[in-house]
Amino acid sequence: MPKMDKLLVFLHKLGSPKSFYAWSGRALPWFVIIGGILFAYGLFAGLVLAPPDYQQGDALRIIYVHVPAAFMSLFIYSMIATCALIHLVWRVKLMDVMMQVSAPIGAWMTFLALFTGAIWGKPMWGIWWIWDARLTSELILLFLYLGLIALRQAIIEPQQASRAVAMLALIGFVNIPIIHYSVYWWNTLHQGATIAKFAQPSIANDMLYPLLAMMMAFFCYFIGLMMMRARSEVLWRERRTRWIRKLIRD
Amino acid sequence: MDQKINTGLMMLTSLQTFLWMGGYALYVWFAFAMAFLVLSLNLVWSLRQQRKMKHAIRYWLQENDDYAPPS
Repeated sequence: MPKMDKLLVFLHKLGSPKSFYAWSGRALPWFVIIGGILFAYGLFAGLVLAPPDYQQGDALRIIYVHVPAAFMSLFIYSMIATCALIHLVWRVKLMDVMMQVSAPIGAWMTFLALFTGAIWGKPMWGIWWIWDARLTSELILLFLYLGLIALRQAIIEPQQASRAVAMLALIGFVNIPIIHYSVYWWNTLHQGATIAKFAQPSIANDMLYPLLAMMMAFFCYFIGLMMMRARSEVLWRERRTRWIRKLIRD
Repeated sequence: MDQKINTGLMMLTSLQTFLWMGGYALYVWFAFAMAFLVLSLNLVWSLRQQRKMKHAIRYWLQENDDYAPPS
């Protein structure tokens, strides 16, 4: 039990606004550096080194922005749903900040996935858009993100707003497995998964490595951006405290 | 001299093939440009918002001096 207590105390400290502000400030540059390196490698390897696909030719290279964006759109929503659960159960202040600042980034990632998908669909399928299961469920995800943003702005009382947003985030989580399995459940136009967690990827290494690099680069980009926005939101929410006063004055 | 021209020409043609993207140039570069635009805009907005926020807090602290702890 004491061990468990120590862990809880540690987590609580980590999640307190003041210590978050301190450690995120130290962590942020690393995400910039690592993300930058991964972007540089991923772009060069994806656009120059990787061979064209035997069926799709060079159009396949759109995968290096489409899949990372789509992956992040799902990841960010899952993260928001996790934060929502923690927020509702344990009332950790920081979780609400995370939910608030991640929603617009997630919406942009979803938009990017849909947009690059349309650009990819035109030469491969002959159409920009079709009401395919994968495409439709991803579009619903975009509306969910917009719903999270709108709902927060619609409720004036912050405490109430955060709880309502958390509820919506949890309910909307149903859509995430639907998006993921849509290509298996409904056999429509969108191709199946390229990388599955526990299976051999159906892609050559020359194409796989840049793809993984781009996915990790997008991940670093998101974490970095989220921390940056969360830091400034924390400053505002904690403006009444002594440590902020000291920080701003110095 | 000849050698020089040839390598120059080769580099030019390989650049052209690269940009041509096997005929999919429009689609590939459009997708990458869009990705670049979305990521960089979000970064710029966040940086600007961060700066604004610090100003806003400084202003708020001045307006609400009664919150100042006794020194």
